[in-house]
Amino acid sequence: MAHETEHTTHHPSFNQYVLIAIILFAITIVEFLLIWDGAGIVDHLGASKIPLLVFLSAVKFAIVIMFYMHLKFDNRLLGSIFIAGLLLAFLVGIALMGLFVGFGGGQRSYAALNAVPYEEHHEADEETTTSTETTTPPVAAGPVTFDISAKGEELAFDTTSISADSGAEVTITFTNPASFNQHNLVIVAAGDKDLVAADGIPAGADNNYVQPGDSRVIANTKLLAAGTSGEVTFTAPAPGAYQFVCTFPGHNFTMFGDFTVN
Amino acid sequence: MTTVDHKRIAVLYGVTAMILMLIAGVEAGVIRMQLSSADNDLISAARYNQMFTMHATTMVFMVIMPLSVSFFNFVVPLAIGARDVAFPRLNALSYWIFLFGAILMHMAFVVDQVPDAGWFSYANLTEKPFSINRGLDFWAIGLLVMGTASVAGGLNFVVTIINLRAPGMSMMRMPVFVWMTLITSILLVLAFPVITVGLIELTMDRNFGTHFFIPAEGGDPILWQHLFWVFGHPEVYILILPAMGIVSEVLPTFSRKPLFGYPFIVFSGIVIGIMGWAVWSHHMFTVGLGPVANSVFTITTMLIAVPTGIKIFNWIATMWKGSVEFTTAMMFALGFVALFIVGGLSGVSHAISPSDFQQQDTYYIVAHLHYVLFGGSIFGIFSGIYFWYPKITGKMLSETLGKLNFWLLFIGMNLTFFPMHFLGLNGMPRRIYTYSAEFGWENMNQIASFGYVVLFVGFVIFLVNIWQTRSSRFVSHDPWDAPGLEWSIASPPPPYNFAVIPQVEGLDQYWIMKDRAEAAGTPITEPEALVDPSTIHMPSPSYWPIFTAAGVALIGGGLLSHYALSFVGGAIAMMGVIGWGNEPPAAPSDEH
Amino acid sequence: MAHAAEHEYTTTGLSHRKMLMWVFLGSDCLFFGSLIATYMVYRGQSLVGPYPIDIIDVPLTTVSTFVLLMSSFAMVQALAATNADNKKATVIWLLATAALGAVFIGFQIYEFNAFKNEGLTLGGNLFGASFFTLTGFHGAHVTLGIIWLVAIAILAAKGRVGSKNALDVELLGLYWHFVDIVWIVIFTLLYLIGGFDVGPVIPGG
Repeated sequence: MAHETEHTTHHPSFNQYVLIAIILFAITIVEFLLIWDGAGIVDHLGASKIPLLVFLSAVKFAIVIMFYMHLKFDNRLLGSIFIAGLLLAFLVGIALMGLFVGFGGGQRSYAALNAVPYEEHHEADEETTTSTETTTPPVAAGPVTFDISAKGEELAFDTTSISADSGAEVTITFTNPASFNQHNLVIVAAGDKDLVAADGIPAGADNNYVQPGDSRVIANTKLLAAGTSGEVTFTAPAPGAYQFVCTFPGHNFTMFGDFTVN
Repeated sequence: MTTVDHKRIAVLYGVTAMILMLIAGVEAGVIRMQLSSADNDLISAARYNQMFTMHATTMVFMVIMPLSVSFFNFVVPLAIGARDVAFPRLNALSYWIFLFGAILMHMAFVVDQVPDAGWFSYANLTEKPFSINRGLDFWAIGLLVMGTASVAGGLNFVVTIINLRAPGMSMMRMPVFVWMTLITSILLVLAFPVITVGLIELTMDRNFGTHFFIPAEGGDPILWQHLFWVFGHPEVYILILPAMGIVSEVLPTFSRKPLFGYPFIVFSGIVIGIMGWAVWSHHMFTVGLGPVANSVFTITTMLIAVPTGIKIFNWIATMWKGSVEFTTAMMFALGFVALFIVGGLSGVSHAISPSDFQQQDTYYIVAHLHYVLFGGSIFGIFSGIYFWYPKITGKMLSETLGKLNFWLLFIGMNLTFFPMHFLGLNGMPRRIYTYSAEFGWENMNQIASFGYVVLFVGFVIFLVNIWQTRSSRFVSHDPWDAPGLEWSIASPPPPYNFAVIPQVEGLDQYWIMKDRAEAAGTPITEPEALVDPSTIHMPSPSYWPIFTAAGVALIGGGLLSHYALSFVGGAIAMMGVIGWGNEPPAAPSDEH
Repeated sequence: MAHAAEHEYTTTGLSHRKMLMWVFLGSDCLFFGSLIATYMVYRGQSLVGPYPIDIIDVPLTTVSTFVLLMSSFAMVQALAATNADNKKATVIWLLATAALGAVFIGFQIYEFNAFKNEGLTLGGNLFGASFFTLTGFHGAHVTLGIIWLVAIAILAAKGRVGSKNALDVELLGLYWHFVDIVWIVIFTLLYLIGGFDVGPVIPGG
């Protein structure tokens, strides 16, 4: 018959707790020195710093659990309960990483091919685009024309951004050089393209995959068969961020570009 | 609304789950009607996707799990000689959060934006451009809400089983059902956090602009599969272990023999619980993980068949040379064993990754999962219902109707799902809303759809059976002459369960007590004669659990409609917790 | 508050609530473990910057790590004061723990803001998504802990917290220390190790 026994047999004293706190700080300082350029240690360590850091953290972890959380002096059952969860999380994590991802932090194939170097911003301005071709978008005053094509057989345009002044007359000549894909080109406000495309699917090919009367569409070309081209002329709307997109079902996820109106 | 009594909470869970089973059953009926003939257009493809998604999601999370929890709630405190669970208010909270979460998810039907990406909702079909309406948000948020209920319940039962056993009941003297509840509860608290993270990441992708599972931005849809199945595989053991526990109680009772190989059954349950974490990628064999990963998981998956086999042999040995009584409960238990063997065998064939390449995403898998979940879990649960009904209500379900119920379900189940083995191997994929006649699948599909009708009738008979007990007579507190402590008290049990907490001397304690009384020629003393029941203090009812649950559900509901509601929900939940903490304690007392 | 606790029967002699807290912490290991796994899987997979090496500030975060470690020390003192029925010390140490926790959150807010200004956002790249989600949920755990600390401190000031119900403070302490050790793991993986992850190298320097 076991009644609750709340008191435990041993509590560390105030001084011992201070000592533990100092040890924790010291380990943290050591960790910091291990990675800090100024200390110079990291140059000698190389990749071996990782197991060392993991070990030191594990020591801190264990100290907090055993002394601050009192597990060293408590009933073993409590420790086993917690360690079970911890061990499971650790093992499943290691299995996941080991079998599928690997333990290095380096880039894997997709990122290695597609990642873009980082340039520092100094104000919170617009986000970087994923394009590495930094062509200055053509800006014009009077009537403007653009020639845009689908990029071969890909579901992409060959132009990633265009720009015009508000109120200017814009003519886009869109060429579809693909051998069997159909495409169109639709002008929408930035952020609308996927919803417009989703609503375009039920509208069907007869409506050029654009919902009739869709107020979010500023202008659009007809649905162009493979190897044809078409044109659309419209007045550039109020200044802001817009996009051009192909709303053939499924193309909108990769076939779009930016249209900036100044 | 304010009850904290585990027995009443059990009934709440059971009734709610049965209603949801009817809903999920209708969804299954729609599926079978649509598939009964080739090129059918009973419902659109979009609606069909919604049907199979909701059928599975509802059956897994809102039928089998709450039915199991209903038994945990009712049986475990009685079986260990306790007066209630360790945290009665937390118990109530679990139920109310579950109910509100289930309602929240079904609100999707009201606004006709129903989840439709399958019950495991693979990314990146579930991402915004592809699943643009709120259906998947209902799915994710509904599961997040219900998940908290499951974790709270799991926590409660772990503490209850470890800490509230009657004196003398060591771990190895606990009934097997209690052991299975313990293992299931541990799995619940450890597995749900993983899917919680997955659901959070999915919700963030869909609503807060992240790209966790979007390939074009470097994200990996396979990560979703890993997170889902690291949860998902322990989840299927969560679904089957309780039924295995029930069967381990029913078989000895109606074989008039103690369970054979008790330590083996217990240890195999523990091993299943642990190894269940090492097999998750067998759901992903066809994803392209590579030969090393596929081989590792083939081996671990084949190994996990061993402890299950051990259980089956021990169950058979229990009946061997026993005097078997074929009550309805017993028949469902036997049906469990037979059907689970079939499901287990097809499971072993999936374990081998090369053959799984043929079987994955075909009806062969649908056959497997229904044999283990319907033939397994549901049959086990029905066995438990017929077994413990007299204890819960004081009345017996009709044996005649019960046997009819059993045979209709058994025959219907096999008619519906056995042909699916052939359909799958003949190439019929899962989750297609129709098929062309030239494939030659129509005949098997017609048989399967006919099987559904048989099942439907079987369920109606079950409901009739329940209904007619309203006017049937009361039975004694121990109609089966069973070994568990729960049979030693009145039916239905008094609020305090045991007037005197029993002293346990071994396994099958009640058989021990009855044998001793018979040998001595004296009847067992009514405990109420020794103690005045009015001196026993039970926890008082409380409205804080339902209040807090409403707050939690509102947090979810707010995420689905207006974010401001989430803050209101959070405030309500916080108030609920504070009120709860300040309420006088609800500790079940004893009179040592 | 829990005046019936002494009479409560338990099979193991351990308090129900203490056992509950430890099981819950075991469960929370899986929660943070999954978030950490997401971060580890996505190391090196961001397609655009800022990459960790561009913005992670290890010295600053080392200071905030100190602060959190100090708060654990304060928490331990709060429990000792509770056991000694020292009402004034209990309140002071509890509020100190909360204050140090709040300072840590202050550092986090400052850091999040600085990162945002440098262009790291939830939706910008995978590093942003996994970093903010993981540290955000950790911060949420800390914040809940601070609220809990203040609530218990208020009760303590009213004389309702002492050696008879020290368990209430002990449970809070377990939660608080757990949040601290999760930070130890996050600090090591995301800052000391992961903080030096680079993006693509521009050829020619």
